[in-house]
Amino acid sequence: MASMDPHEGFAVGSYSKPLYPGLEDDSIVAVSSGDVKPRILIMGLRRSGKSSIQKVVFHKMSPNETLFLESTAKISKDDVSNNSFINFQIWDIPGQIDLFEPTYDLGMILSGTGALIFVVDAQDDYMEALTCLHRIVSKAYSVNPHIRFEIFIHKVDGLSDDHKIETQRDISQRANEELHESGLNDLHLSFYLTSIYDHSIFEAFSKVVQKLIPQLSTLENLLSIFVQNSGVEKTFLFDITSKIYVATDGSPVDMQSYELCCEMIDVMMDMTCIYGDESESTSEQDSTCIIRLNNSSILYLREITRFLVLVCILRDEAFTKRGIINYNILCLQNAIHSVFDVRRTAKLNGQLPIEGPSSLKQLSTSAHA
Amino acid sequence: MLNPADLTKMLNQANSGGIHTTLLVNSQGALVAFSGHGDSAVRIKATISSNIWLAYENSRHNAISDDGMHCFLASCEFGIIGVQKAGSSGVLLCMFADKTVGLGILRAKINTMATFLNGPLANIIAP
Ligand SMILES: Nc1nc2c(ncn2[C@@H]2O[C@H](COP(=O)(O)OP(=O)(O)OP(=O)(O)O)[C@@H](O)[C@H]2O)c(=O)[nH]1
Ligand SMILES: [Mg+2]
Repeated sequence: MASMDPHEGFAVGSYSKPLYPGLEDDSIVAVSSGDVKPRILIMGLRRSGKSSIQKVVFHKMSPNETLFLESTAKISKDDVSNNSFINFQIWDIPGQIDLFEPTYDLGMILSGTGALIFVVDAQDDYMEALTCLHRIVSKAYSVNPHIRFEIFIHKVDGLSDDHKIETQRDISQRANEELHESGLNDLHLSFYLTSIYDHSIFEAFSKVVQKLIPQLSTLENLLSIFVQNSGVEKTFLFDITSKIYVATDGSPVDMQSYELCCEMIDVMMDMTCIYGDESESTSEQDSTCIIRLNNSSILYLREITRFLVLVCILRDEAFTKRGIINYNILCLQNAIHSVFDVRRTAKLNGQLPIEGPSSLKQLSTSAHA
Repeated sequence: MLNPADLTKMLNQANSGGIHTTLLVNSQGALVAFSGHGDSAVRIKATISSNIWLAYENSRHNAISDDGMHCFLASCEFGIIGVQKAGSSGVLLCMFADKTVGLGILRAKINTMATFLNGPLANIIAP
């Protein structure tokens, strides 16, 4: 709970820092230093669910509609950065094309890639998928060892809990063994159990994206400080359009609270679509949304930038200090803006930033407020 | 009934002679009514004022006599501030003034305003 420290002299009036204007181009996810947007490749066998994942996460397609998706014929490049904080391209590589054919410039494709997602259909026999996985991963690693390899064990909605764990264990064991045999010991694979019929796909994608955000640890620190000082139990920083969480505080994430937050954003977006003012959507807004649950928890959502919202889960009692929480959110907001400002100015000067603790200091003043 | 427009007009009457902002804040730190010019940080001011008040209120048993805190005045880097309880529901009246304003006149004004508001604000029930 935030409490006032009488030794911290207050200078009322010096707090009137101007609000930052909305970040127009939060161009933050830059893995390579060039101008090209970093890529996330989604690969996997035919009908494994690649296009479905992309449509559900970034285009708000409902899971049932994916039944009617046709098999993709050529590489589809999807730029999600225009209405989202997440600034990169998602390439959907269909299962029916063979990237190893000389018509594709594999070197070019892989060198600008930040993460490679390989989708394995868990409802199918996955032996063929594993062979394919091994082939692609070892090739990609030899071209660009900085790629992160993320394996989505997909369509687990049809599996029982025991079966899920068993499948994950089996797949990771086989995949790692094969890598071991070919001497690729440094190569690390991450595994996720996913399905488009629940929030697991959003959570897995969040983790993939987080690894590509260089400011992640700074953001996590900021959120942890915020949580400690505001009596909040859990907080997430969400990208609104994709419902991917960009960062969260240090405490462990449980799926339920993540789902609650996702649903809250859905509710808010639906309300905005019906009652929101279209013309205002480009300017800085101060959206707020409060949902009280009957277990005396409160969900509190605040807009941070045009693309980011902060969602807090807190107890009823803590919410009596709403003024303080709001004030701390304001400090957090300023800090987040300056974190990304560092990046932007550095980009202008053509040098890489040192992510400094300067923004942390700013927030720690709020710790005593 | 409390008419918000009238309330703002009422608060505005105090804004003269160096006093630039007058506001009402509830015990949760949320702004109830506000009148003033030229400053956007009213919500922050409201929060901080109510929080300072609460901090003293919570520890008044060992510092102040039992009948509670009546008013506090603070002289800050860029101005002075006065806070006093108005009504019975924990609503606080806060005034912000330039450095040039004397603490005495601020106190007199805030006292007069609070006494006046006691009547109408008695209708508000504490949350
Ligand atoms: N049960 C279940 N079915 C899924 C899931 N994700 C995708 N599907 C289904 O899988 C089928 C194939 O999905 P697509 O997205 O077209 O597969 P793809 O990987 O893009 O296939 P290609 O374009 O041929 O490479 C669709 O009928 C989807 O409805 C899931 O999580 N669970
Ligand atoms: Mg497809």
